[in-house]
This record gives sequence, structure tokens and C-alpha cells, in this order.
Amino acid sequence: MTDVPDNPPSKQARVRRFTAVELAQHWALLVTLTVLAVTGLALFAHGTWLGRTLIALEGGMETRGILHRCFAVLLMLIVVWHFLYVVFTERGHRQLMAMLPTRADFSAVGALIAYYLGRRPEPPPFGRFTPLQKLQYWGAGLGSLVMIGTGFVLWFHTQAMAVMPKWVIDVTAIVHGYEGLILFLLLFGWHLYIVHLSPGNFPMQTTFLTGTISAERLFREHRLEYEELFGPEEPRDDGERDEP
Amino acid sequence: MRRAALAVVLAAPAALAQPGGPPPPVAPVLRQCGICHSRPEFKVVAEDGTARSLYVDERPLAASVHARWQCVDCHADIAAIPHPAGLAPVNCQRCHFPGNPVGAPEDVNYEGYTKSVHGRLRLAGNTRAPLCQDCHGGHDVAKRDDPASHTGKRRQPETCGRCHLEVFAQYRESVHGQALLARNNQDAPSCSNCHGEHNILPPKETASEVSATHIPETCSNCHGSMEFNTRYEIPVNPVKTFKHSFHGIANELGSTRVANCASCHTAHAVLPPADPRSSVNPANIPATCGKTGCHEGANANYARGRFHVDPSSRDAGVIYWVALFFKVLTISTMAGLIGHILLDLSKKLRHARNAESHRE
Repeated sequence: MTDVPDNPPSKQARVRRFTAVELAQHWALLVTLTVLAVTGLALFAHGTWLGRTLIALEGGMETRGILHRCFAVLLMLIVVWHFLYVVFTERGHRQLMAMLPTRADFSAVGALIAYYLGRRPEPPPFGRFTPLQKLQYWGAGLGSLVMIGTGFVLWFHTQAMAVMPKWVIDVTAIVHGYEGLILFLLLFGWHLYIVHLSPGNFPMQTTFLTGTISAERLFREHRLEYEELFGPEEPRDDGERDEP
Repeated sequence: MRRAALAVVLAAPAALAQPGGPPPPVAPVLRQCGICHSRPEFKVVAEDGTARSLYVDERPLAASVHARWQCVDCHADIAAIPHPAGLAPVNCQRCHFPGNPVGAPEDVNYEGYTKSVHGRLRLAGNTRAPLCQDCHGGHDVAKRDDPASHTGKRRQPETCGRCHLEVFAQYRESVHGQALLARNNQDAPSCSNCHGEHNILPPKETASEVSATHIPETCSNCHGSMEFNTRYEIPVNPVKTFKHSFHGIANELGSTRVANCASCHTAHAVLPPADPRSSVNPANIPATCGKTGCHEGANANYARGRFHVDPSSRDAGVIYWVALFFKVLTISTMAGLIGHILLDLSKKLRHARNAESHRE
């Protein structure tokens, strides 16, 4: 699973965090959700210059709809792919189990807030996935499922209207719109800040490109996982400065 | 045909002297033309045997805004009797131009007319397309607010209906036509309220007041105000709710395929949903929604439930509560995320500053 270097590792040693398949899933999701967000946001921002600009960029209302549906199909395929991955591969299943929320996550969030407020000198030690990362994963995952479900009703509204009460269609449209906005904020606001824009990571963290993380960052941000891999000893300082 | 007029049929010259009563107050030249044209039996017979009356009733002219003018002031190309063939139609621009010396109203929208569907057809040589006088009247031109005016609000439908027969028939039965024509309700729209006056364009052209993309705005001139809607027992703002619906958003963003007001309510046969003839009566909704290119296969289930729902109004029931829940959820999510970002940012910046001062 990890190309384990010396023990304790050098600060700069790269530890494998994600496999090529996982990176590929992330890329597929990144592109798909970006197109879906941009083509969906055009509707949400109707009546503003943003909506008009987006629609113009997307080649008009009709093309926007076609694009949105094509990428919706891609999203469904990615969800199926991911589902098969976490259910039928050992590595994937381990990742899913590590992603499950635990009671410790709640106390860790409390401790993190205490740290932010200056009541605690150090942030709490996190495992392979921090509670905030779990929130991003489950938010994006369950959010995508809601979007797919409601999106299906809206896509086949002519058939849906023939069998469902009108208010169900109205509610579906509202849920699809707001859930899309929440997902957008979660991924293109919060996730982007945490991963790339926050001080220390700015302008970009490379894990999503290489699938690796430096031993130093692993020690700092995923202490429990580090200890599982290398024991309690801190990574060696070889003199050169690593990422800040 | 007209050029091949065979005969001008004149009645006995005895009719020249008007027996009894004072003559109508008309100008001398008019009287001169009236030697022939004041006779009801004065006709021209074409080669195919059809007769066209050349009789001019002087009374409407005397009551019109043009009473003080003489025949040849307008029929300016008449210089000989019998008149030569191929006389031009009267050209109103002889007087109605900006800065005219005779005091004729100057604010005539010729430009709008020449660009309009009527003007374009006429200029392209279609003699069935209307000139000024075809709508405003020939001899009986009256001021706009005069009830006798052909282009006054209440007489427009009839005037336009002389050519647009089917449209007039539909409009007359519609809620708009009934209100204006049967009850003289001045709130109701006449033709020009929706189509414009001189600058009428076909609905297929985007610039038209009644094009797919302009219709919501045109209808909103009246139906955009809740005060107006309440007066006519329309319980929701149809324009606002349309604009927030998928149809409305797609329409606003330039889709011409999506339903606009007229797609469901029809253009001229607009009737309240309770009327069994209405296109939006529950019995007719499957056919209306199921039009080719729309929701083909629409069934009776389409007619159940409410249309024009305003999710921000409590009357919307479950839709209101779901929308409210998601608004709160979105705002609290946003607050949570921003809150975390601010906490994280301030902690990290403070950390960096401490590290900096330690190094120094």
C-alpha cells in the first residue's frame, strides 16, 4: 500500500496516499462536477449577468441542457465505478471503512474548534481521513445521489408528470436547485479552500496530481496514520526545507 | 381590371339639383366632385361585370378631422375628368410630416410603419397590406380618443379584424375581448396593447412585442401587478411565478422552444381556467401540454395539482416548506463553511506570524 521508506522517514519522503485508480476517479469527478455546476448554475443565476454570460458560453439554452445531461450520465457512471470499487476491491473497501464516521470524529471536531479558539495548543491527531475530509466525501457522495435522483425526474419530466403529483415535480426542482448550490459551495468553496487555498497549501497541494504526501505533512495532518506506518518517531529533518 | 373600366353609369341629370332642404356644409370643390360622387348609384363596371361603387358619403368626411380640406388636397393626382387610370392611393405624408405648415399632427411613426410587417409587405408591392388609411379610415378619420376613431381602443379589434378575421373571432370570445367589447372595460387589452401600433412585427421576429421572448414582458404590463390580478380574481402573480418556473427561466435565457404565456393560454382565445372552452381548463390541459414538440403523451394527471405556484408564498403548502427548509439549509451550510474558513485562516495566519517573529 505504501512504498515505505526508512523509519523514521525523511521529512521530504513521499508516502503514497492514493492509487492511480483513485486519482482517476477524482479527476473524472472533478471534470464532471465542474461542467455540471457551471451548466446548472446558469439556471440558478438567471436574471443576472452571470447567468447570461454562462448561457452565452454554453452555446444557448438548448446546448446547455444537452451538456448538462451528458455529464449527468458521466456522473452516474462514476458513481457506479466508485460503488464497484469500494464494494468489490480490497483496497477500495478499506478506504470506505476508513471513511465511515466514528464517535472519535465528533470529539476530534470539538478539539479542533478548541484549538482554533486557542484553548488547545495542538490540533487533535487525525487518522487517514480527518472528520472534515469525511464530511466532504459524504457530502459530495450523498449530494451526488440526491442530484442524480432528482435530476432523473427532471430529465424525464414529461413521463414523470404523467404519473406523479405536480407538487412532487415542483419539490424535486427546488431540491435539485438548492442541493446543487450546496454541493457547489461545499466543493468549489470549502473543499478548494481546505486543499489548496488555505495558508500553507496555497497556491496548490500536489497530492491530487501525484497521489503522494510528504512524510512531514502526514505526520502533521494524519498523525494516527503516520504512527501506524512509522511508529511514534517524528520524521527526520534532513536540513532542506520542505513545504511550509 | 380597373383600368379596363368600361362605363361610368350616370343616373338622370335631374338628380343634380338637390330637392328640398339645405345642402350639407361642404367646401365648393367637394361639391364639384360631388356632382358625380355624391350619387349612391355612381359605379364603375369592370370587364368581368363586377361593379364598384364610387359613391362618397359626404357626412363622415364633414364630421372628420379633415372636414376643412378639399378632395384634391388628398387625392392630389386628380387633374382631369374623366380621371386617368392608375390613380395613386392617398399619401398622408403630404401633410403629416414634422414641421408641416398646415398644422397636421406630426408625430406619425412612419419609420415604425415602414419597418413593420405591414409596411414591409406594402413596400414590397403587396397591395393587400394596409396603408395608413386602411386602418385609420379614409374619409372618416377621427382623433384617437374619439369613440368614432377606427384605431380607438374599442374599435381596433373590428378594424384589424377586417383582415385578421379568425383572430378577431377568437379575440371577441376571449376574456379580453368580452371585457373590452361587451363591458367596455378599459383595463382590457385591445390589439395594439399587445402588438404595438405602427411597429407591428410578426411573432417569429425576436423584436416583436409578442415574440416568444417578449411575451412575458408584454403580458406583465397588466398581469405583473398583484393589485391588477386581485381585481380580476387571479390568485397568484402569473408573470412572477412563470419567471421562476423552468419555462420562465429557459424563456428568459433565450429558448424559443419552451412554453411562454401564449403557448398555454393561447394568444387570442385567452379564457379563465374555469371556462370549459379555455385551453387551461383541466379537461383541455392534456391536449394543451401535449402539443407536438412539448410534452407529448400528457394525460389527465397533468391537470391535477396547481400551476403558477409561488414557492415563497405559504399558499404553496409543502412546496413552501421544502423551499424554506432548503433556504435555511443553504444559508446555514454557507455560514458553517465560511465560519470554518475564517477560524482556520485566522489560526494559520497567527501561527505564521508567530513563526516569523520566532525566526527573527
